[in-house]
Amino acid sequence: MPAIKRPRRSGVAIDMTPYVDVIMLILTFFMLTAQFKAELSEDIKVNLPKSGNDTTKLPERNVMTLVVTKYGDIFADVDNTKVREDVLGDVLGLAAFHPDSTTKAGFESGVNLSGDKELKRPLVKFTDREKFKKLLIDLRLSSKSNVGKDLRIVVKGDREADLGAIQDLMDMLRETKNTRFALVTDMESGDKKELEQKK
Amino acid sequence: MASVDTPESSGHGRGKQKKWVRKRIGFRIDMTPYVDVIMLLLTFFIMTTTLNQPQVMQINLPKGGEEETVKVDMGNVVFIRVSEKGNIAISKGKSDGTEEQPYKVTFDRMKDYLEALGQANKDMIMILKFDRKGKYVYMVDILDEINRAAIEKRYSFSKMNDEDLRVLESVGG
Repeated sequence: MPAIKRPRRSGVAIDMTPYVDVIMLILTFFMLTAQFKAELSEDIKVNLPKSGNDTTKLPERNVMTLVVTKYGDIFADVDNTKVREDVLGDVLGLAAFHPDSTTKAGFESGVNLSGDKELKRPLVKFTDREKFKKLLIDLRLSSKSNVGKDLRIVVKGDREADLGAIQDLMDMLRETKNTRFALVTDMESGDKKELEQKK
Repeated sequence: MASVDTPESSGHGRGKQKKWVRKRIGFRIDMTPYVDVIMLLLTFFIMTTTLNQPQVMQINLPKGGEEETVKVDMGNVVFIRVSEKGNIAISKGKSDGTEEQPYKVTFDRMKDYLEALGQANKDMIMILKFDRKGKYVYMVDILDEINRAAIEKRYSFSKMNDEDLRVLESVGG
């Protein structure tokens, strides 16, 4: 008896290969462009001022971020963990300094600096201006020996920060021979410009 | 079982032809778990990535210490003073070291004034004096306005002293 050829139900098989290819491409793109929160000093929340004319983007690697909060505190951070460990003695360390002795430091008075989250990084507090200046130099030297590249300095100031704190910081930067730095701003949205024109 | 004798194209001897060879049913791997994991990874990276990179405003301070001074012709100097409240006073310097009567400028009109001054004098140097009690946003706004104006961007920061405060008071603080 000849074998009866039963029609085999082949189950609808969709060829997923192109789909997976595209997904992999997108995945690769996001993996390469991703920056992790630990690398950025996202921990201290600041409300950046807006500006419209700058085309330079924030450098991605080898950045020393100097955050100035509205309480007048200055936080110094580098994105390289090795440099952090070298200079601050902690992989996650964050240097904090309050230049104005007449007001209370925000990080001392228990204000939540990182928005709604809790600040997880240990603060290395500086009370002396000269020591903080030395830290700025140390960070640069350590970065040069560990990474081989010079640090780029960016200042992230809060809109409401006192100009005095910024001026103190600029003085310290100049005294430590850091004469090139950048102020971080947010892109001005189009609707604000229209508002200005209406006035 | 559906195992068939596979025909061999090359003549490899008859003995081999008689061997029962299992048919290779074009094997396929189930990609579903693979795609699942990839999708999870993709979601993770999309969620954590920060695409809007903030921009920066480049500042170059002069090298050298406070005590080093650069001599400039006071006739080229334009003083821009910003008070604690954010009011702007502009005054032109004169060659003999004094300066002209300051005038108050609103923020919206500042760019026009600066462009007019910059066109009148191509060697204009702006000296920015900010009140220490002011807000950081004033400084960024004014630097942004200077960057937007069609003038030579030569400016430097200077400390505000009592004299400057008096000038600011004369135009309304």
